[in-house]
Amino acid sequence: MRKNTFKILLFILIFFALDLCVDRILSQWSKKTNSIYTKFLHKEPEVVFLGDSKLRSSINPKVLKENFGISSYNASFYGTGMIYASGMQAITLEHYKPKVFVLQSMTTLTDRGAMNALTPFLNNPKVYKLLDIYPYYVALRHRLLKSSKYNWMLLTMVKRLFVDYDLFYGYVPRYGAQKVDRTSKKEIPRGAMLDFGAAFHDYEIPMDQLKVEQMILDFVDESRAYGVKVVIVAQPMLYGPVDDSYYVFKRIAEEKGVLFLDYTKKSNRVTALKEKHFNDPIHLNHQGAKIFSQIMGEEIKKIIMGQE
Amino acid sequence: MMLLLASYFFYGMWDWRFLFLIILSTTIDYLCGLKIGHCQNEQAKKKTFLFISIVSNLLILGFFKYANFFIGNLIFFLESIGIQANLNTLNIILPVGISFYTFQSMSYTIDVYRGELKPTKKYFDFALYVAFFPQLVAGPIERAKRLLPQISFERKVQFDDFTLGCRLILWGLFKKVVVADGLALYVDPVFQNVQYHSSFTFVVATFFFAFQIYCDFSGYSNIAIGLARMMGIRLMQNFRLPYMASNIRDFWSRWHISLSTWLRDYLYIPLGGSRFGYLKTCRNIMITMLLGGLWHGANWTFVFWGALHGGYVIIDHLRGKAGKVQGNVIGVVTTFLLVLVSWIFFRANNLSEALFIVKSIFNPNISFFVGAWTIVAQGFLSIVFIYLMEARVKDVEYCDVLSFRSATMQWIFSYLLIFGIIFFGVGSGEQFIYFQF
Repeated sequence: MRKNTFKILLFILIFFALDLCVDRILSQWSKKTNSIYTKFLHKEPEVVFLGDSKLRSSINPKVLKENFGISSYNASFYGTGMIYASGMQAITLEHYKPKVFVLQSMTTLTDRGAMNALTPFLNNPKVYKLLDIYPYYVALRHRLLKSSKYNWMLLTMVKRLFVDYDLFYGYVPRYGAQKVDRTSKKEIPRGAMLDFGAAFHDYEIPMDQLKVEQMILDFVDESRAYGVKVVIVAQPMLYGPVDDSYYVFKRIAEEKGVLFLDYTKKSNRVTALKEKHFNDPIHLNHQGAKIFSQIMGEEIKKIIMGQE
Repeated sequence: MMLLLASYFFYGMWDWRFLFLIILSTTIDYLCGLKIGHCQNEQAKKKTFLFISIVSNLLILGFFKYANFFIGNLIFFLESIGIQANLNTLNIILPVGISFYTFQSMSYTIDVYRGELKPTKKYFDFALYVAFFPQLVAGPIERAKRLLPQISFERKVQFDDFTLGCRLILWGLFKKVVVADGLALYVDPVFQNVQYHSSFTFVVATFFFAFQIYCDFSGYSNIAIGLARMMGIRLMQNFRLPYMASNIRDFWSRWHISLSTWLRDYLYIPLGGSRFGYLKTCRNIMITMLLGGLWHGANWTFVFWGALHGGYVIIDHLRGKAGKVQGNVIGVVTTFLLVLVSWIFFRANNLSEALFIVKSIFNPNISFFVGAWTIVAQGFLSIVFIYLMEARVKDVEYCDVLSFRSATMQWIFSYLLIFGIIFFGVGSGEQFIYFQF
């Protein structure tokens, strides 16, 4: 009986020791392979783009550099919302002061990528506090099992060994034009091909609307406190209604006197973007990104020069 | 008594109202069992009580599971012949595990009637047999002659049983949260949006679904068996590497064994089995498989799935008679492909979508929906992993993949599985597919 009890206790003890070791190793590895850590923060670009997959595939910092002489980094990450943007703002400001934060009008309903993207920065107190928003069982698991925060990160980390994300300063190009329904030749309704809600597991959480609004307000106030300008951008889209978050960001931008660059179909602002420039209804392809980066470059140049 | 209260508590946590249903079913079968036992020499009375037991169980099952299906189809039929039906479907909640516990409970009275089992006088023991929480909601569908004696006699938890239980739970959990739920991330978007996908995507999604449902269900069985074993109770093996079956009958002796043997013993054989000539054998096979399909759910897709398997078994039966049963790699591959086709009907939302998928597969198109490459990569890698792990122990009881001669290896693989769950587990709380049945 004693021997068996000892065996069980030893098994548990070794497990927790392994958990700590694995956490340390992965923490070092993820910092080494995380493009944000290795490239962006040390290069101190003037402009930082913060958004989700839509902005990630539509701003090519190379265009801004070559055509306007602006150094920038596209720190957008797929599936994210304001938790991620606020976390990245804190991480950036901890290292240096950029000239402009370009914040995308992202969904305010859920957040599913922040945990994965911000995991390497959990030692930042603000990031830690932001991630405390997750349900109790996620928080408990993280406290109990140190390595659990790398859930589904490991494959991405392996991928980073083979794929250089920094080739385009955070920008991830998409190729090909918008797909159509094979049978009826109709456009694919928004969401049909993107129904990967569960892919981020328990990290996809519904967001409290009021908390998100407060996060946007804090984002603006904190940036201003550091002397960093904020621009909010509503992404171009091929068709479909704008989602609720558009109105939330627009209202806050008006309230706080923040420049709101509206490129949705609603505004008719971008006429140069055609159907062939979209990879799907809401993501630009690499050709579309070239055009959009040029448009954004012109706006940002004005902002940096103090004209807007 | 402790276990019974725990089982009722566990079930009541889902919806306490349905505790009354399970208690009602238990009480009816307990009383019928006693009555059948008391009138051993009075055939008519025995038959009456057996009839009461079977009819009451089937009524409960029929009402909660199939009422809306029949009403819906009746409305459709009447309207198709021009009669305006003034009928409404009912707002019925399907009690979790109802198909499992009614079949389990029914097998008791049938066994008592056949004289294969003495009726128990201990009500609480019988109640625990029906509601034993590890296998209450998704099996294995245990037989009374196997489980009741284990409940009635005093048990002593052995360390070896305890560790075997832990190993089975760990493997089951890995199969569920890493493999099955990981594959679901690809399968669900494809099957929910069939009109936007094409041939190769459907082939991959169906292949993934075959392993999703296997890992989901066999993972649950592993957990149930492991949990029971930790308490000193031995449940029956429910899966034995089904995708390594060399013919379709072999498949059914490896897939959901507790249901297939139940259908064989309480439906196929009483119908006459293979005793009354070729045509009646085919009829009996088809009835058994159709009802087996319907058991899974009130949807024509399940009926068609059952019919397809019925057809397969009949052809296999013929080939067996002609001495043409394949027992080699070709047989394994052919059987797997046939089973894959049937899974399309099992998983599709309705028959027309299933037929659309089948048609699309035969209309080759190179476009392939990846979604997130990590999901596809993990899907393929996890399938290879479970295959290698289970094939290694194909002759070991319950496919205990962590049974190594060396304790060090056992510990290393246990840690690997635990960290596998931590790193690649899907924690979205996906429920087990078979809970709905």
